[in-house]
Amino acid sequence: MGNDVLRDGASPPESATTRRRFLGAAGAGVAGLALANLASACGDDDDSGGGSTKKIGFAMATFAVVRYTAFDYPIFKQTVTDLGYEPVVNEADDDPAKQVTNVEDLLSLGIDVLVLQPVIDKAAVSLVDKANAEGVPVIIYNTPVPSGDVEAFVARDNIAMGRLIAETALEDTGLEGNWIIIGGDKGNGVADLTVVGFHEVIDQYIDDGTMNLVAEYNQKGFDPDEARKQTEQALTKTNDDLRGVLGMWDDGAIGALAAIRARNLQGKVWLGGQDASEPAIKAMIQGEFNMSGFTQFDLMAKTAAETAVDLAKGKKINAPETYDTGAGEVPFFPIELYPVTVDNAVEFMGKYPDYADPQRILFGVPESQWPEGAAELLQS
Amino acid sequence: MIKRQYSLTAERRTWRLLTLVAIMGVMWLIVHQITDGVFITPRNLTNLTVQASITGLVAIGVGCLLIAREIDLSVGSLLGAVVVASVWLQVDHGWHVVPTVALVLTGGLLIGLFQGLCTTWLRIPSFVVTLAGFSYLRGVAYGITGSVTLFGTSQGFRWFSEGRLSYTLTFVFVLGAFGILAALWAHDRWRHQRGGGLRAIAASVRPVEVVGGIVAAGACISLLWIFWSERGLPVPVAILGGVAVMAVYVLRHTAFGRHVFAIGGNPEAARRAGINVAGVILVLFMVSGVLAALGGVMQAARLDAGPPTVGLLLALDALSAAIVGGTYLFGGKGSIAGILVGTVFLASIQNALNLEGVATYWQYIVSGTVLLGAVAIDQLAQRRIDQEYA
Amino acid sequence: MPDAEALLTGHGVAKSYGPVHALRDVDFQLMPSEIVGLAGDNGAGKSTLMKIVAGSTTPSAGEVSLNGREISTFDPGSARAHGIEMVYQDLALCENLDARENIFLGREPRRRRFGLRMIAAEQMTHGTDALLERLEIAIGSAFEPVSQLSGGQRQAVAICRALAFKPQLILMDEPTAALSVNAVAPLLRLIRRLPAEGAAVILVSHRLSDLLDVTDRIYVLRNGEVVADLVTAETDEEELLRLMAGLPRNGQRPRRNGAE
Repeated sequence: MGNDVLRDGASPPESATTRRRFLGAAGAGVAGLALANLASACGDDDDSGGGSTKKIGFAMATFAVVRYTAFDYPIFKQTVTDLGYEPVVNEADDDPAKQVTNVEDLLSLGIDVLVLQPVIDKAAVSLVDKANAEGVPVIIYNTPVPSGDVEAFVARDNIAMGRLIAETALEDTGLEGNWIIIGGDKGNGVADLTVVGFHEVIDQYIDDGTMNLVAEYNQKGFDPDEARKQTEQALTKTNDDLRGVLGMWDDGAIGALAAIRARNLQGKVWLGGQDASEPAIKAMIQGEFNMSGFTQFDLMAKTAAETAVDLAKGKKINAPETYDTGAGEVPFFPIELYPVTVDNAVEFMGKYPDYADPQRILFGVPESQWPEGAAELLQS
Repeated sequence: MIKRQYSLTAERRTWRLLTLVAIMGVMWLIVHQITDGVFITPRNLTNLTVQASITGLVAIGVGCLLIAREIDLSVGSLLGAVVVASVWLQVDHGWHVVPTVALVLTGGLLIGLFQGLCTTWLRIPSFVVTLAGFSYLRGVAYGITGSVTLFGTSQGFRWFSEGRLSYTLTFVFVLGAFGILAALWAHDRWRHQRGGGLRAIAASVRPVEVVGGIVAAGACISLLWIFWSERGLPVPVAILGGVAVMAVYVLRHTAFGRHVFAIGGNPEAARRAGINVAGVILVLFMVSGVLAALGGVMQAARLDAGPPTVGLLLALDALSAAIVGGTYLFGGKGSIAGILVGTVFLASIQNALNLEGVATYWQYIVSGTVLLGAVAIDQLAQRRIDQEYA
Repeated sequence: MPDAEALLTGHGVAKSYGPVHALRDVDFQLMPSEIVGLAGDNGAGKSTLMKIVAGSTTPSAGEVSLNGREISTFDPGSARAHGIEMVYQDLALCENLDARENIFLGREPRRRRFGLRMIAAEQMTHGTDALLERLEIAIGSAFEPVSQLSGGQRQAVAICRALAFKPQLILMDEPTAALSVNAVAPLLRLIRRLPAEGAAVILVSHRLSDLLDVTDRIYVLRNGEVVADLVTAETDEEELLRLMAGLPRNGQRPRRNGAE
């Protein structure tokens, strides 16, 4: 077989050079690692983190909704920095496992206070314990957690929000006829509590027969497309005789609106939601949406930041209310609710132009439909 | 006449792995600087290894299947179902830790068996079988408690995530693991030299083995230092280590392991050689199922709750880790060491970006780019080699 | 006429796949150190006969005996256990494994150590070394994956695998088909050494020059029947072609190399 053309392993010069290169890199890497170990062993001590500024950690649930990038994140950072502390923020992309990692990492960075927005409320209990075990006090943000070992709870009162939406519906329509609830992701604390708020208002009207609750729908992962499909089914079931939709959040209510528009019923079905998102306000101006409950997220972030700094300074917390987490009562800072309707839409847009951009909202809406003062908004 | 007692191809793969380790080392140094000296601390590195251990465990199972030209996309959903089930059994039904873990591990084994049978007996491609599993197992996860998240397990259960081995055991374990691997290597080399004595063995050692040995020794010492400073070896890392050592032994030193590679290289040839191909694949699926279930136990303990949404992208993470670590997507090539390095590499990136407060979407972008880059470099290197020999 | 000393005999062997008669009433025999060739056009039945002997298929009629023992109902595993090895046309090598692993695939030597079963890798290495040396085959490294070897070397590895467990009979299906021109001669030399290793060979090839080069005898098949049983030294390519095509033999004694 000797005279075969074969690859019998004559080393080309190329691999010798690359091999040496790799050797060098590997050696450098290992040596560097060893040096760094030594350096950090000598340098760092018990305060397992670099730097002398005190740090406030914020473990958020996600960035994927406008409010977080428009309000919670920037306002929190700004407030903490203004008060002379260093904010450290991360987010978990709605993944409970990632949130565990996030909290661990924040703790290893040596934060003094943890502000925690749970992805899954029940899974956050162990995170509270983890932080407390290291002497880091915890403030719960936005979604209640069944743990009494936290120093404060800063959020909207979700049940109150639900009540607000339902009460507006009651005022506008008397809650008569066929209604559906778009309840959001079942198991999510905010969604479930909002629906509880709905029921606090509507149950007596169901009992006395005024209102017929055709269905109470939930949408896994807050998927608005689900809401649309479910509304289509409800319209079919009631033969297009739907009086109103109690939406837990705007995207879901807008999904319902899409189904309603497809049957040419817009304006005839009462729609309420939460978040005062741009599509909702636009629909309000077009007369197809009725009300959206807004929580002043900037206030929420600011309150959380200030409370956290107070905790870091060792000050006592003075909260206006207490909240029953189911595992104990905790100091509660409820954030004021702001119902947005077509009547105060202009004022709202003027107050929060970054969140509710008048350009985007009014685009495509004929000027005849614009509410008073809208044109001036565009000029500013 | 055999001129060379070693394989250039195998050595090239080892060099590639060592380069990956080197790049990771450089990355660690850079991140250490950027995070003001937080990254390379026992505390953060312990976090890192614990965070990587679940993915690593699952990546070993998936990686072995990849070597045999199969795939398992359902691991994340199986993990999710186990997370929910293990918490549900304890919280809703008052089961103790041991029967709970035993039951869910058996469940994972049976799911693996089922998927394996669909693949080997019904001859449905594993991609389809496990894609289906990805769906219905997630449905099971939701269905067990109707999307309600139960929580509050016991101290005993949380041991699977928070437990630490004593200092003595830490030493024994880490040294033992590396020692076993070193002994296997040395034994094999000694036998090959056929009584040539230490001098012959020393003469047969190749440069890549020297560097690899140094890196391994460095890793061993580093691990000892990390865990010694941090209350001992964390249980998840110990579990991963134990599984990894067993996997190395099986893949490299048993006939079964050779058969796995053979099936990945040429299933028909393996069949003709008398290998029970279906049997091997069945075993690999069962192993993947058990490892995913074990990962589920660790994850549930870590969360101390059973949310059904856990593990949505786990299959992607595990596959990426295996591929970055040098496992060939189309079968026949791969190593446990590579899978572990790939896992730690990607976990380091996540950890680093996290410490810097970078949004999660950036982490996805970086991970994806790394995966693509690693494979692209492999392809280009391979093409260059082919051209030289053409 | 079955010979008591014959290694392999076939008697009335027939095989049909539905209405297709791949083999009809074939008789043959093989002596222990013979190299026998099977010649024939496509569809003549060569592969089918090989498959029956290798145990991949069972005959519809007739029987095949090895050392007097009936083997018609064997499967490939049992055939191998009785010393019948096959070298496939596509070689059936695992490209990602090296020569030693391929040679010992499925029959890896094992050892028990500390209560564990492991592969005795050095036995594989030394066994491969010995085989390659004996057959005077040179490959760069037995540790390199076989994808790095040339066609001729891979063929050699496949043959070594067939030889590794002291077979009595080696079946070879088109061994030279995929080889480059200068790899053929070494391979044929190798085949000629096989009887010295204790194995008889049945060789299927469409390259008649190869058959004429290495075999002792040639069976010509046509339409599932044996139309001739020739001694290689007494025939030539022209005659083989005529028989394959169904033409009668020439009356004359054939010429070879100009000698009479």
